[in-house]
Amino acid sequence: MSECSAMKESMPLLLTESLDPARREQSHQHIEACAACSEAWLSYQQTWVILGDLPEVEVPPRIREAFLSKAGIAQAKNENVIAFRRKPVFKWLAQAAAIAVIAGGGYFAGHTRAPRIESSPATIDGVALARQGDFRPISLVETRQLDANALSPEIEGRPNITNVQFVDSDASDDQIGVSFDITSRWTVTGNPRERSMIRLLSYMLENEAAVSPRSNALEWVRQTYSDPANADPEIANALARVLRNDTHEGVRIRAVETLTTLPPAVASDTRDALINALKNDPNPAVRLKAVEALANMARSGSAIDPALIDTLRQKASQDDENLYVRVKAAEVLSSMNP
Amino acid sequence: MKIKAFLTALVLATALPALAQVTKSFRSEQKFPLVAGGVVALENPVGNIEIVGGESTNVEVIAVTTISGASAAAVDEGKRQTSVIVGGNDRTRVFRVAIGPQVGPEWSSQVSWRVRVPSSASVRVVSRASDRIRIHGVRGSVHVKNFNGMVLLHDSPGHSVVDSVNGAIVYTTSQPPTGNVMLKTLNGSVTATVPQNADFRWVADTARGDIRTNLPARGAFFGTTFRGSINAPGGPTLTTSSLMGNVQLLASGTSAQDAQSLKAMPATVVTARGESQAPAEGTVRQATIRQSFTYATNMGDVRVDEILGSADIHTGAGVVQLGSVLGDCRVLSMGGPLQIGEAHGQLNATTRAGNILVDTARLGGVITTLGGTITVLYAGGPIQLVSGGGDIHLRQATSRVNASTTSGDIAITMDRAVRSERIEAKTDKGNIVLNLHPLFAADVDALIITSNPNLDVILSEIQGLSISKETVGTKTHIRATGKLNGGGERLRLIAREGRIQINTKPIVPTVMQPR
Repeated sequence: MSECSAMKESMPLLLTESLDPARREQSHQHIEACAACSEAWLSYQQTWVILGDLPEVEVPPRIREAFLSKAGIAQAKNENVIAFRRKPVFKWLAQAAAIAVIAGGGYFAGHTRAPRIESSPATIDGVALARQGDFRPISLVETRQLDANALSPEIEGRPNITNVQFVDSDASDDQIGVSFDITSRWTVTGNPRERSMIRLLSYMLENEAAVSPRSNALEWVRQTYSDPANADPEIANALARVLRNDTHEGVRIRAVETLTTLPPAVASDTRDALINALKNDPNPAVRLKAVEALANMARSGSAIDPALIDTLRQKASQDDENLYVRVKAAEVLSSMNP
Repeated sequence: MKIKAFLTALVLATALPALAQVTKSFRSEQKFPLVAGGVVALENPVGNIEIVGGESTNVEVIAVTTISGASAAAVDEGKRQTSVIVGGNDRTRVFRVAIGPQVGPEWSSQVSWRVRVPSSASVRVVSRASDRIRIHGVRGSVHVKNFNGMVLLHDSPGHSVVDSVNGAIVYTTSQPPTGNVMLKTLNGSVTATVPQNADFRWVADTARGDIRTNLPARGAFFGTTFRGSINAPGGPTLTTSSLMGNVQLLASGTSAQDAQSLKAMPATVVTARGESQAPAEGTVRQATIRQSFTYATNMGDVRVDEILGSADIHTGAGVVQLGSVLGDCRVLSMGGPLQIGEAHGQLNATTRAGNILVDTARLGGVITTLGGTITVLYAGGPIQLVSGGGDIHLRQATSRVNASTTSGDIAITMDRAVRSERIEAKTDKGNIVLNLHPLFAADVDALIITSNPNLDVILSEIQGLSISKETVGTKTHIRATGKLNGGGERLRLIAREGRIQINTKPIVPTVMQPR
């Protein structure tokens, strides 16, 4: 019998899986053998399930504080929190009366003593752009946190919203949160030389999943940025990264082709990527395009340095290299005078 | 008047900048001791280089630094920025030119070198631009790395490597190369001239140019690369490579006009290719056998790339293909073609039916087929060739030859260095063509037995033969006897229903289909 009472004491621990494995096994064996304990255990389990279904109710702070003090559990006070105390009603009335007196006296004084301005028809002399400081640009970000009052209540069109989660980090306040993914179509217009436009296109070029088909994007970039007026090193560098990292040889070929059309002044930064492609790209077509691009750069007199010369010399001499690549490399070298 | 004024202005406009150019040269001479077999290294960015091997035990250097600039100040600045640095010790002597960056007025500098080194020295040269780099009479190894300019290597037969980008390479040696030689340029031509009797392997490569030689090269193309042998197989390897230019290999004292294009030459020897129908169980296929190899099968192919001992092979029926055999080689096939690359020992090859192709029989031997063509590219010893019906081609023989066929032509070319040797050739139906050096000496006895004496005649490019005709039954006997070049070893030729020709043409290269 004493064993049964010891068992009943340990049932809460068994329920919360807090017993060590040996005792847990021993307890289960006893429950299976003892009818009384088996009934008690069943009862514990049912209660536990019912408790799990009940909604959790936040205890009001004052009740919680009172409870804890009655229970003799002292709670550490936050020093930066000032305790709320109900103010007497008469103090409110006195404050309201004082405001009314000040507001009424001010209006009377202003109305009787200030010089009067005669009204005239309104005219617009000109329109000026808002200053840069007044304009807050929108960032393209992976995650964004927004106050509800910064969001227009109007929802235009039917944007696709998925993966919704409701968040209430603090149940004691009156704030709720909703988190979701949204697919919306953006059209950004601007001059191709604008930094934001260049950065956006660079990002798209490098983001394999973003643009499909990517050859179209590369072609569009080629058409736009081969114009010396629009040429930008950042686009060239983005293409160089595509050439270095993209897994599709078709895209890498397009990247080299696009680099080839860029004015040499901006493409000089991509020299390393081209050398790397010529040395290491497994696809001969990419190497071929790379050597042609380097030939263009060498002809323009830019970016000739020992590393380029060594690479070309090595390629031209490499017996197992594609013959066209070798010949092209030799042609470039023939015009060099290092 | 207007024209005169214009011309005057033009002359002034072109001449004035030249007049304004200031050029100064500074010469320095130095002498350093170097031990026998020492190394001389010279790194010179711009300027001509001449290195000559001699009997002295010193390195004697004359360096001329030339600075050009727009003004005297520019020249002074160029002189300050151009340093000739001497380092090393009596085992390795290093000369280096350091040219500083262009700051301020524009100038250019170059240093020309004339260096005398002990002939036993090895030489290393690194250069970017020059009109020419000339190295002469150096017996040690030579390494030249160059970018722009011609490289000339004379009488330096040791291990040599020349690697250039834009510029021709000319290699000339009056002695056979004693070490491997690699001459490689991208945009220039390569011309190597070696003694006519030198034995070596030749590798020639060009993508855009031509490969030409007037030496008896024999080998095959592998892509754009020709790999073959000159004269006896083995010896050092001469590699001549130009991506865009021509490659030429010439015999000393001959004209480049005689050289023939190997690229334009169709494969004159077709090797035995394809699989026979022999069953797999009797077939042997191996890369290298590191000992003597004895094998017999009733039916099966035998294909071995290399046997480092002797070979004794018998097959009832099948193809025998051996790459090289270091010892004696005995092959007997009851039916099937034989193909032997290099037989370094005595060769005895027989087949009951099938063609026989031998690249090299270094010590000669006996080659017999009861029906088929025999082709031997090089025989370094006495050789006997017998065919029961088929042509016999011996493309370069250095020793005694005995060739006979019951039906077919016989063509024998003697090595250019052979001036007298015993030759016997007999065909029962066909022609005999003999190609000899113009000074080949022999006692000739040549006979044609023919039913068409107007067509079958004896022709000789070497004078000294007297021709007689005699009718015997239905046939006409045409006999030529006499002494070539005063007489020598016996030369006996018999042709039935064919003609006999003695030519003095140079040996043509042999291009084979790749095996």
